[in-house]
Amino acid sequence: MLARIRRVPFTVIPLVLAALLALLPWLGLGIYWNQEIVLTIGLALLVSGLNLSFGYAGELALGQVAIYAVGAYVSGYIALNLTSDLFVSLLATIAAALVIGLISGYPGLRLGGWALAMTSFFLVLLVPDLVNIFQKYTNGTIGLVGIPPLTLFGQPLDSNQYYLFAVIIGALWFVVFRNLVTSRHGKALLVLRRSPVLASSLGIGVRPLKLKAYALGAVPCGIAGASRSELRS
Amino acid sequence: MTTIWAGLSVGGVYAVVALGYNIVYIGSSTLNFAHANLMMLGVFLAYWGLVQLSWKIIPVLVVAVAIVAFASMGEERVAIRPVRHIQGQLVTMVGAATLITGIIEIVWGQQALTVPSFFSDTPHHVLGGAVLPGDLAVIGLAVVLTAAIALVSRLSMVGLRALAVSEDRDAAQLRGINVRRMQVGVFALAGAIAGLLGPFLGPLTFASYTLPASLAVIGFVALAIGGYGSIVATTVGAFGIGLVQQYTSRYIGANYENLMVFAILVVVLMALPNGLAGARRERVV
Repeated sequence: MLARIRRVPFTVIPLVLAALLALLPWLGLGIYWNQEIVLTIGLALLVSGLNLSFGYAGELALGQVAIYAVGAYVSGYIALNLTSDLFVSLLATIAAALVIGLISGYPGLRLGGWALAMTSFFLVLLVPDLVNIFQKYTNGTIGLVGIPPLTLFGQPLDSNQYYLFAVIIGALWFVVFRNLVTSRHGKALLVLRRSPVLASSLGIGVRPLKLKAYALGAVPCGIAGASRSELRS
Repeated sequence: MTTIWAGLSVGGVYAVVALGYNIVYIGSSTLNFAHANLMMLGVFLAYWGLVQLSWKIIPVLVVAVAIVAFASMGEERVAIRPVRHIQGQLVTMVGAATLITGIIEIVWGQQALTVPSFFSDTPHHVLGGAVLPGDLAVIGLAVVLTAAIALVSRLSMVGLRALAVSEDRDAAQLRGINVRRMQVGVFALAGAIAGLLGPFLGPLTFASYTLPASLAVIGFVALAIGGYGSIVATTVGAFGIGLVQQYTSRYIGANYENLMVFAILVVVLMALPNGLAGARRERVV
């Protein structure tokens, strides 16, 4: 019996738990916990982005909150002005997060350590200023209000369906994350964290690797921001 | 000229933040992220002493210096010493900064408080511009402290030891310098200066628990422009940032102040990664 359990790969357990989590609303989960769990998934995505660039690559890039804000504004703006389709919103958010991740990480190619930490942290401080400057699009300090609910194939999602999608997207990202860090790329990131010099002497391109870490680390933050803007509406 | 005075007094605040960074950086090669929070603790203690207890200025200064120096040494003990690697230190120092801010918020609340200035509130006309005596005091203090620390670090035995530690910690230890005592000492000194400045900075910055985040970052920008460990160049950089901010906010708009500072930071870091007066280090392994 025990031997048979051991033969089941360890990765099955998180997946089973995720499936259970996804089914909770149909087992009588209230709206309060529904929203709390979606919020938790968003924060988990945000932290896993930080984990990729800071934890694995060892780069002190702290711009994740700025990317989170960008994700929230992009998805909110698209839902208000263009379409509220789930896939369009998701793809646009990921694209915006990739771009901002590259821009905010770019100084990291020249700087290391404290300088990168402070530069990226400065970016977070600039968010309120930028929101005020682009008042026309962001509605200033009031924020975007009246964001319509997301739709899928033209059908608006109710809160349970939205919850289901949030859990699925969160679980999917963690599957991607797990495969990434156990792959060759994950090992390369750990080498980079030890020493960039060691990485390049092992034939790992430091520049592309750093850019990859910033860009990939930005993706979950953008998605997290999108989930946040939907919750507020 | 009035704008210049305003810029210089804001720059003076940044200069003393950056000075605190430099003192700790020279003696222990750490960037003390929580220094701006310690300074804000000094400002709140000034409010507590001058307004809540209505003490005279001298006892307030003594108590503030003692408490902030003690807090700084506590930070060194729990957040810096057990953690050797830079990534870990960043996390623990942000933690220390958050903790200090949280304590301030619990004790004094979220409302920004006005610290009374012990100079008069009538502006003087100096060199064709209006300036408050309190602002002049901050500018003067920044200059005097910078000169004092620069002289001490170049001419005294303690200063030379600190420079040796910043150059090469292991070699300094081999030469018989007590590296750990040096580290505790610089934290205590930086904390004491932060406590001393509280009553002077308070009238300018107000006692506000949200301010340290931006002070910390802009103080760092001054440090990056001047170069780590170069005390005079950093203060020059800080005054420059203050001027840029005031001119930007006057001619372009207040929303663009920090954006402009960020642009300068990026340009300086790209062009001179070691700052105006920093030396390049070739050794990488």
